[in-house]
Amino acid sequence: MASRVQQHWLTFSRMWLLCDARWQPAPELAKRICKYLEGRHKPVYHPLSDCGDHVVVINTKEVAFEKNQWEKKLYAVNTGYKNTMIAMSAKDFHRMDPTKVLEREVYSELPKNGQRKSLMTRLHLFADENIPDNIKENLVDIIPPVMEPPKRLDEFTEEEKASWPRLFIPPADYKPSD
Amino acid sequence: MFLTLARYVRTPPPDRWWKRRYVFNNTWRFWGRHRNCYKIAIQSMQHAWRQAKKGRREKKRFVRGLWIERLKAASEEHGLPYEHLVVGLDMAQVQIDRKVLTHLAIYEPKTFKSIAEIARISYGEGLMAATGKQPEGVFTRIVRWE
Repeated sequence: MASRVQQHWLTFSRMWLLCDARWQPAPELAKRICKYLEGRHKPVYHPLSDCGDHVVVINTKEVAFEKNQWEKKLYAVNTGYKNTMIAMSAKDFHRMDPTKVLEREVYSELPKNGQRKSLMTRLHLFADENIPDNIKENLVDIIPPVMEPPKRLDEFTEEEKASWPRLFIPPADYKPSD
Repeated sequence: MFLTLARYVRTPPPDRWWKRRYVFNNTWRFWGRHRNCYKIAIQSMQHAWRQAKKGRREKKRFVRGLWIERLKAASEEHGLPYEHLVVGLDMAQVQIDRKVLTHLAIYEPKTFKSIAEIARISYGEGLMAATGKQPEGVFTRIVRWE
């Protein structure tokens, strides 16, 4: 390092991190994003030092909920007209705007203090993989996913299918009785 | 010797001005009458001192929590959960406290990396001794089929 000042600036510089929300469970992904927005992934974390990073989330339209949460979970939506507040299911809310479900989840996971709104401005959500160029230039690292999305059968290669362990290999003239 | 009369004699109270000066020296930063009027200032001062006593105890808890947060982040950087780090160091009889570990994690990263390795190895060894399970793909003991 050239000097202490430069080292200090590098330590506290704000990173831009990429997160793929494809088939990730929304509440768990929101907790992980909150961790990076607040800066809890850094050993120099302190709640008063503004050490959080920017998080860019792609493929938010493919975020997942468990079981029947898409039908059951309700979001309070402001219609703009007075005295009408609508409770929308997560499915309709997602259809209305594919980025808003994850936005609401992250907003509810962040600590409920004055920092919350300024941290939300550092969250950038995109429904698919099209990111503006000026954000693409800044990206530095990838946030590890919450769970590896499962592969479909046609996404496996032939070698993997052949080398997959089997309990027994039936003989050629084996016919299962229906 | 008769001591009761001598014990009835009390020290005279402090001069009124000095008594109030003691309070106002502690409340010169407060707002309005809490700064200038004795009856109100003494209550504010006592409240402030009570809060300071409570804060001294809470500060220790807060600082320890901050150390643990920082160690969680630092150990995740090396692929170790925080529990594995702490339990592994305990098994290896390394008694460095969280305060110094945090300082090492920030200012001496290479030292912290080797500490994390010690914890990882001793945690693995400890698990093996406790559960009798072998690590995957390695036969360290002879397996008997009965």
